[in-house]
Amino acid sequence: MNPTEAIATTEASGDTVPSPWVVRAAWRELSDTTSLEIAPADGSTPRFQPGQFSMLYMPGIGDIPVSVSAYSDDGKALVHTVREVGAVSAALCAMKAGDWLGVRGPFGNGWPVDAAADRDLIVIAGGLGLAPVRPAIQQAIDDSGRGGKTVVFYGSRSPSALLFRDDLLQWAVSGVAEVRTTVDRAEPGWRGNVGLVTSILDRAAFDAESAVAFVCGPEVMMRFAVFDLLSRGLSADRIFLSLERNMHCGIGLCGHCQLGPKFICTDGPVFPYSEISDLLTVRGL
Amino acid sequence: MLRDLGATLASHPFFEQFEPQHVDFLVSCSANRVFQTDEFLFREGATADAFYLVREGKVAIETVSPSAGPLTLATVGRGDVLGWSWIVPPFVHRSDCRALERTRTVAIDAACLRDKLESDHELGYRVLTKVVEIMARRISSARIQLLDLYGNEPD
Amino acid sequence: MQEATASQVSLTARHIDGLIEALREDGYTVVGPTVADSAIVYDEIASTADLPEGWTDMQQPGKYRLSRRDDRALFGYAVGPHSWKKYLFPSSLKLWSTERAEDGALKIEAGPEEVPKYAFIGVRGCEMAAIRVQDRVFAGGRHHDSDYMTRRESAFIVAVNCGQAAETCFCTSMGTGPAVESGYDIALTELLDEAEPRYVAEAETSIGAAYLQRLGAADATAQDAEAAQQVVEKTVASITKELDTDGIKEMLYGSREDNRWDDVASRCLSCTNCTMVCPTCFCHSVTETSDLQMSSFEHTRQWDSCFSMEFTYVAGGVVRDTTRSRYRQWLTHKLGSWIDQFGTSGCVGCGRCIAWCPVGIDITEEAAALRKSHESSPKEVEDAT
Repeated sequence: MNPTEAIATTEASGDTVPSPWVVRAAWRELSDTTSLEIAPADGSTPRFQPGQFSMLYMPGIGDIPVSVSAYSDDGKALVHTVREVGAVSAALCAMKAGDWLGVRGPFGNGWPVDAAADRDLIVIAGGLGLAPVRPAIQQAIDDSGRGGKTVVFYGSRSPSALLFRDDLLQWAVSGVAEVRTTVDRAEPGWRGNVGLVTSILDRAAFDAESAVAFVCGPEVMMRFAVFDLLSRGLSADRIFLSLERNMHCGIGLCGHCQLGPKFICTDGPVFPYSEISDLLTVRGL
Repeated sequence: MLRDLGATLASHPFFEQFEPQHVDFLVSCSANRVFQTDEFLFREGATADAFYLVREGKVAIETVSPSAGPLTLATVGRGDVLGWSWIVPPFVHRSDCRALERTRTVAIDAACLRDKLESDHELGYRVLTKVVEIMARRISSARIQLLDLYGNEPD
Repeated sequence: MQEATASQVSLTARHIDGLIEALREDGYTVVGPTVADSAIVYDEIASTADLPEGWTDMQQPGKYRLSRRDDRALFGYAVGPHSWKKYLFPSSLKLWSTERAEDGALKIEAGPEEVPKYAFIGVRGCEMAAIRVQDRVFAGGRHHDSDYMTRRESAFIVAVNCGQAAETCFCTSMGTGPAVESGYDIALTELLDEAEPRYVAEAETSIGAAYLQRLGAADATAQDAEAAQQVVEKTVASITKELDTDGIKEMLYGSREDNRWDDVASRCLSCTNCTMVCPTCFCHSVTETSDLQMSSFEHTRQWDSCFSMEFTYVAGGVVRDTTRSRYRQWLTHKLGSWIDQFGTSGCVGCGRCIAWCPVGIDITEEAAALRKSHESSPKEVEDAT
């Protein structure tokens, strides 16, 4: 009967039990990737930090972590971008406007957009890794008082697998961000860059001494990008990575997403490279 | 004219760390060359008669398959260099190289360059170290590309 | 809650029966040690007749056997395969249920209906420490497990200062026993100097003191109080196993590439026994089930183990796909990174993982081997915090 003083009493609702949400719109981004604009069924206004993820729950199938890829235009819904990989993601990709799902979260810490307030922001994204970092880019370019420039390097498998092409084009054309894209495999007629995302980093102009970098994509690609950023002179504590592990509970209780002492779901998913550099190269950690 | 070319060479990232006398030594082998959109810099099987430093523009390194047509293996642009066939026997290009847009280069004559490097081994060492650095980066990148990391391979 | 005075009373088995009865009358589900399946396990009990009177346990790496004692001790054993976490953190628990209406609308309701109010009889020092460790995990961070907290807050704990250690015990190394430190309502020390066991009891909480008062027992004599102290001292002296915890986190962080992991992986069966018997292991997974109409669903939590292959599944594969990496995770987490995460070791020295490992892997031996290897080839140690 004498629980330790460690026991506190508050709990945010929707963290351990999903709330019902409704799909307002669903659209295909790529052949295997769908965006869902979803809103709480009770009409409340959702909040999130760029880089956070939600646990999306499909009754009868299960729940998976999916990062928030945007606010809806009216700010009343969150967009989640899902790639078909397993049973839950396939069911999510098949959703239509009006369908219901369960949502827990959002969870995690998010990108430190403020750290780039007066510095150049370098974003390096690969594949679906553009989704978790898109809201951070948007927030940075929406901040009219910001000092530094925003440079987005984005690599995908092929021209037809480039995600969020409208955004990339709009940022580039309006001049709010420098956007450079590259693909691993060209398709006929492609006149853009071909090569690893780091190959387009080489000649880009930015203030490496002070720049802040957000890196998001497959871990191998992120390690390569970090290597290049460090070579360019970026400081390890200003390079941020978003990591992925087997997130189940989202609140640091189920134990699945540990990387050394870190719980990816609560300590991350975004970490400064300086905090995790010794963990990333240990096999099977 | 030659002095301008010297300045152009010296300002290219390839020669960033080089001693000025080494760069000057190579000017006599060099010439400005401009390629129009879709013009080939060289073709597979041709003798590698020049080492190209790209000043402006973008070029595609391509190979061709009878069924799939031309496939772009990589693109290089401003500040990059093109190829190592000029220093690797038998000095034959292993791919096509086509300008994707109007591309300005400095072409260093391969035979002339090899002679210069042979006559000045210290310069030879500097150039080879730089070429190896670029080769290493491209090989590493190519390996990562082969992993098809962004692919969707449910298991 | 008021602290009780530390006055000690003297009890007999009859008083303990009275205590169990009183607790049951007050609506507690009383659970305690009992003999079943050739082991001392925790189950619901109705009286001291259910306790393992005159039994003890012989434990060694990979070995657990019951044997008869030559006295009538009720608590004359060390620890068995069960721990109290099975009541505070059930091995299976409904988290929520979902109903889908005809129009597709979802109604999602939080999990378990009613949580029983438990009274635990016979909680050892190491077990009390394990409960405190899980308090930190489930209730001490940013997010809480409300089911755990409900169970924990309503639980009544009768602890026992350990009079019997097993060969596998190393609570003295972990600072968790054999005396019970804190967190209990009543603590007992069993005295076996007469044919009839006697118990020196003291309350830590006012509710514990109230129950002792209801028993109407006499104050303990000074001799009995002294004898109770000697029981603990004798147990301390009988513990032979050791684990050197000095700088252990840094040692383990510096040993991630040690060959010892291959050595232990060649013996480890990845059977998950150590994590199931561990009183602090908290990892769990979830399953979703549905009725045939796909209109009502249940989301259930189960104990999981970092030794299971799917534990680290991410789209594209499994991160810890070798026994080496999984054993390293378990041991490094338990003895090392737990400290970074929760400010305390995850190990309480109960020895269960040693006894119940089918191949007799001994966590203290593995840690010692790693330390030896680490000290013979000093590497730069980075604190990952």
